Amino acid sequence: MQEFSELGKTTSPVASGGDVFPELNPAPEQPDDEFAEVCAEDPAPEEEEREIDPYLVIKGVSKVFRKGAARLDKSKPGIVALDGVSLEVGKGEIFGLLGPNGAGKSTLIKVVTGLVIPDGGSVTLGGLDFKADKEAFMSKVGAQIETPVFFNKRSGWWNLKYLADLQGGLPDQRIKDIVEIVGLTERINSRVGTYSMGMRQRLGLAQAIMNKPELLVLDEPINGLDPDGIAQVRDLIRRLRDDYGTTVLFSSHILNEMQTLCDRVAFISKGKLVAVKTKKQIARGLGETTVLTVVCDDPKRAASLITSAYGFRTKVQGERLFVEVRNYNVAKINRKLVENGIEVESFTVKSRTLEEMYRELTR
Amino acid sequence: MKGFVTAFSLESKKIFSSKGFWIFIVAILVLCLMVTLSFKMIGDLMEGMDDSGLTGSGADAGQLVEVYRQQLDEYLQQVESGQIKQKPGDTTEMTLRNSIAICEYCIEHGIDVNSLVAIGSISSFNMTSGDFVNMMSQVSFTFVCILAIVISARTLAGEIDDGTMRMQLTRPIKRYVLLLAKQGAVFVAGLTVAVAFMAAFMAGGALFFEGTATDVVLVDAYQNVAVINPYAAILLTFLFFAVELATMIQFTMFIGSFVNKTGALAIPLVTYLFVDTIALLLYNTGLPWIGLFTNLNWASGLTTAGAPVRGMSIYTMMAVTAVWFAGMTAVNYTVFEKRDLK
Ligand SMILES: Nc1ncnc2c1ncn2[C@@H]1O[C@H](COP(=O)(O)OP(=O)(O)OP(=O)(O)O)[C@@H](O)[C@H]1O
Ligand SMILES: [Mg+2]
Repeated sequence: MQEFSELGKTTSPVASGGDVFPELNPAPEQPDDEFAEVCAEDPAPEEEEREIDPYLVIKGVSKVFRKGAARLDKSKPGIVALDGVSLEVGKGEIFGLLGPNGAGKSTLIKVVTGLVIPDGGSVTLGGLDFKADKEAFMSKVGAQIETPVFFNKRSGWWNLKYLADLQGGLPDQRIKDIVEIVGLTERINSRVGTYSMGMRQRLGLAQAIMNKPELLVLDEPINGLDPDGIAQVRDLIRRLRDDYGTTVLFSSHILNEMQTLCDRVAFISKGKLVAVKTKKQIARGLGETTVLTVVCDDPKRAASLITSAYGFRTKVQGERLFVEVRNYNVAKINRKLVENGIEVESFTVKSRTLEEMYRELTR
Repeated sequence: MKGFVTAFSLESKKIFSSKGFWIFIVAILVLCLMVTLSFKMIGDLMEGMDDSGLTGSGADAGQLVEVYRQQLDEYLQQVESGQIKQKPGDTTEMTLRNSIAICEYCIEHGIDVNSLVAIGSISSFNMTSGDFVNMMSQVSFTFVCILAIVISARTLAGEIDDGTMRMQLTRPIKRYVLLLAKQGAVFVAGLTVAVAFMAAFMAGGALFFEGTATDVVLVDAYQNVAVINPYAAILLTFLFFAVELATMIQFTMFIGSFVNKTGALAIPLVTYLFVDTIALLLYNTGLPWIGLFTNLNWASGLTTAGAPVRGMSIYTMMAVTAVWFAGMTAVNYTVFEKRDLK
């Protein structure tokens, strides 16, 4: 994790605040500044998103992985995978988890599905506490976590049947239908050991949804799928939500998918939840933050003009002026400068992408 | 409860439908057939030689008891004078005292001492069918234990290592129920195979050997003697085997709680096969605490030599095993309950 962030700092201009102000490498201001601003503007009271009706409630979940003797001696350092993560997912919501490798997404998902025992905190589903009643809790959950692993020497069908029986049994016809849905009918009787990665992923999806779960938990479900597969999974998730009111918690590194699919996205970094954004907020966040690069004869004066008139953050470097514009018609800024007698040579506008937003939030 | 039954039957199905399991069974059978044939051959070669009975000599109980008493006196004198230092593995005294007790029992009840055999032994290379069943059960039980160790290692450490445990644990079933089902399934599979083997050996015994079986004499560390029917002895051996099986399953999973798949297989196997030999060497170098580790061979506590460590009896062996079993069970369930899956 440490390495990841170092890596990000040196190679990615965004991570050092560079894309916003590309030439100012040493990032004179605290790096959190920008992030704090982005977050602070979130709960714009008049634009409050619809209240969610909390279904999956994660409260203060922490997890430190320890090895060997450190397991007993809590003063020894371990790997902090989750650090007091709390979030609420509404019923029927498609909720995404975003974050760099090692951020703790899979760990969070494993806590929700009972594979990792958290050091502290609680997970409840519709009021059912995981610790108090795992059976009732998990009977409502279907999960696919990372690359699914099956009994390789047995057929896909054997595996599905086995897992179905382990949760109380399902009619063969239902399993057949599910196999049809994930598009594995032709190969369902071959040994899983002979499956391609995408086929395993599809089988993993089949076992996750065969029980008609109320909460579907998917950790990188489209990893390794072909474009058709990705589209199918997307449709499937939508259909499950629309037709059955399934709540979906899923993680992916494919930002476009997250953007199109999720009602809300949580950004996780270094085991901490750094922000939760609704689809609207993301869209708005992307549209509203624009980086303006102005080349003019007197950038210093232009900067103070803009700051005093609009309160936008500015940076001056040589002939250039960088302005972080939020939710404002940039043409008006241009006019303002010209009206004040500033000679504008060039005026470039660049909108933020989700990737940039992701980098800012999770660095 | 329903969860347990489902998981148990799934685990059993998994065991009995695995190819490796059947290959192992066939291998054991072939091995047993070979052992049978060689005994048959040796028996034929030794036709007419008298190697029968507890002592291998023709002497009666009255003569023997005198000899043993004299030997015991001499031994005790040597110990007293410091000529012999009694090591933890030195069971001479116990052997003599128990032998005397058996002879006295035979004299009292008018039994021919040479018609008896110790539990787990055979009376002669000229095996009777009862001897055969007795001996082969012992041999095959050892292999069934090895089979159970292999399955146990695969079913817990193996499934955690290869990741298939993850899928199972995301089902609505409590962890301890799943573990109980897995252990129960291996245990019941082991017992089933053992019973099937015994049935096969009874049939084989009737086919290859003749004669009735020899009665079995039991003696504990307090010189209590009992003579039982050979089939009762086989049943007793079977009960002891059940304990051994359960303990080795628990032990394998105990090791599997701390090491990976390979270690979870190798350590219990080596322990099971060699611990008695290693312990024997250690007793004789004078390490009595080794007695805390090798207590599974309960039958040895009912033979003249008694428990492997001087001063222990079958009852202490049972107690030590029970403590081990309880401790390992507690650790297994606690660790599994708290374990983080990859
Ligand atoms: N079983 C484990 N033992 C020790 N450390 C672990 C274990 N599982 C995860 N970790 C550590 O916890 C941290 C979070 O890992 P996690 O798998 O949750 O990340 P992630 O967000 O899913 O990353 P990715 O995008 O690569 O899937 C990492 O630093 C990882 O090394
Ligand atoms: Mg992950």
